[in-house]
Amino acid sequence: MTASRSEGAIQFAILDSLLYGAARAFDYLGFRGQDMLDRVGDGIVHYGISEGYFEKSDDPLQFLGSIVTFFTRNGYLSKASVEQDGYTLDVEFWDYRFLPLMRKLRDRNSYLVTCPICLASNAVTKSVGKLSERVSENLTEDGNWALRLKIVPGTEHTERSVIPAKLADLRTVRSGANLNETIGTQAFESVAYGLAYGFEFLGAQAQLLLDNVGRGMIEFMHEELNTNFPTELDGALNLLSIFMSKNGLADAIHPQLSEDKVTVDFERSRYLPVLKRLLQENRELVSCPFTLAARSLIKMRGSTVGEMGWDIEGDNVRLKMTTLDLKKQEFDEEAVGNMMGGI
Amino acid sequence: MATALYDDIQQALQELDKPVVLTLIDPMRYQEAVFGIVRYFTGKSQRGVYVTLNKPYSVLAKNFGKAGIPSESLFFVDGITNVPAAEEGADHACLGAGIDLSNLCIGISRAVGKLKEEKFLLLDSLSTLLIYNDSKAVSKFAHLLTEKMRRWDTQGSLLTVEMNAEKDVVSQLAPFCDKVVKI
Repeated sequence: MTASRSEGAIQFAILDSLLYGAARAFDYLGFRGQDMLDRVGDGIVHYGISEGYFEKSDDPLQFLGSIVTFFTRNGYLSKASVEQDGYTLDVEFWDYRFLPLMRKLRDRNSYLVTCPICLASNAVTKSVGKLSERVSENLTEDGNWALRLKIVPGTEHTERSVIPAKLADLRTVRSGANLNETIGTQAFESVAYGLAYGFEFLGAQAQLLLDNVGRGMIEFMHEELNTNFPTELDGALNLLSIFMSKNGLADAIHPQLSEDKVTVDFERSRYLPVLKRLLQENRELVSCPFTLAARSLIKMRGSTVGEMGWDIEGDNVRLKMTTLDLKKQEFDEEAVGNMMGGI
Repeated sequence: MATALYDDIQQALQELDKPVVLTLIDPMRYQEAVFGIVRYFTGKSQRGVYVTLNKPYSVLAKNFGKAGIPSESLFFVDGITNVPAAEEGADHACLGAGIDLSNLCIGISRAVGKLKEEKFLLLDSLSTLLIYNDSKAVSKFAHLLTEKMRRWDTQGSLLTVEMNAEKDVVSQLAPFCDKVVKI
């Protein structure tokens, strides 16, 4: 089955499922989860500078200003203001697109922040040995987001730097309200790159964390968009292809399955610039939203992904995955133990 | 931070003779924890087998060198570097990426057999195995390895990073280890 789309924008349905998956993936670590997520911020900053999306500055406030401008240009908010008084910052965001996701996460008692602007800001602030404590937050009558921050020394999150002492009332914000809106592909790219870059220090095992992100994405698609994936892998991957292409990840996505292989062709993939950069930098981890969700669907159906590889031809990409049936895996302790004993 | 972690490890294991340990690592501290553990065991035994499933042995050896850890005493069993066929050098054996659990066991026992001196074994990490195997198979593998380590009179540690996927393996393996150390 093939799904098509001709527009060139990414919808929040994809970005928010990715950001939701990331928040859910690190909930188990408590406040320390925010430290892990801030690594994604390191990647956002690295990518943005490398691609010339914003410029680095020695003045952290100026640097943050250029990052906010980048996300404003990409439609993550319409306007921002920052006022500084000593170590206190008063921030206000107009039309802040993270609010619906924040509402959803808070309804689940999840306070980790995955707003890309916040992740990048945390990364910049930490790079100078500081943290921002969240003093208070407020939703103004106009629907703007107001946040008071206090800059303190430190590089490891505490309750104060994750949960605002005074929480905003988000009852007027509707979870999922922005999912049909679009976000600039550059902002999407920076987040996707950040996910692959951020956990590289863990080596190959980081894929396990990214697979947790994929599981959260499936949860989000089910809860927010009523996407119910069929039990058969074939049908599930077809539905995922339709979802991802409809929401702008590629013009069209064609999955093909055999007994132990999954091949997916992406026509004009929006993830391509990220993939090219990751491959060019010899980074092994992959954060393509389709791939993360697909790996999760495969695992939920009793298999796992073995080798993964990419072929790039112009704007088109082919993803090749081998699958291993976990039910067929056996480890005979006695037989292997005997073989080891004979060596 | 690396020194503090080393002190924590030393304190946790000081009363144990040739311990077989399960080390549960906070992901944020992974690199420092690996350095601390290697530093601890290289201080206890002349030689060691380091099973790496996360980073190529060449990268690890460089990282250890930069951290001032003598990697000459280590023999690496590498289950991540892509090689057309299994290859072996003086300080390493590359088994190929995505190696199955049975062949990994055999590769480890060969490496241990090469070192005649008192030695240790470190497996980095059970978390990686959980990407390609179900938790039951990984538990059986880990159980067999701990049993063999005792027969070989080899101390060491099986490392796992807290990723919310290892809970079954940890609970099944903990009774067979001398201690579970959380870093």
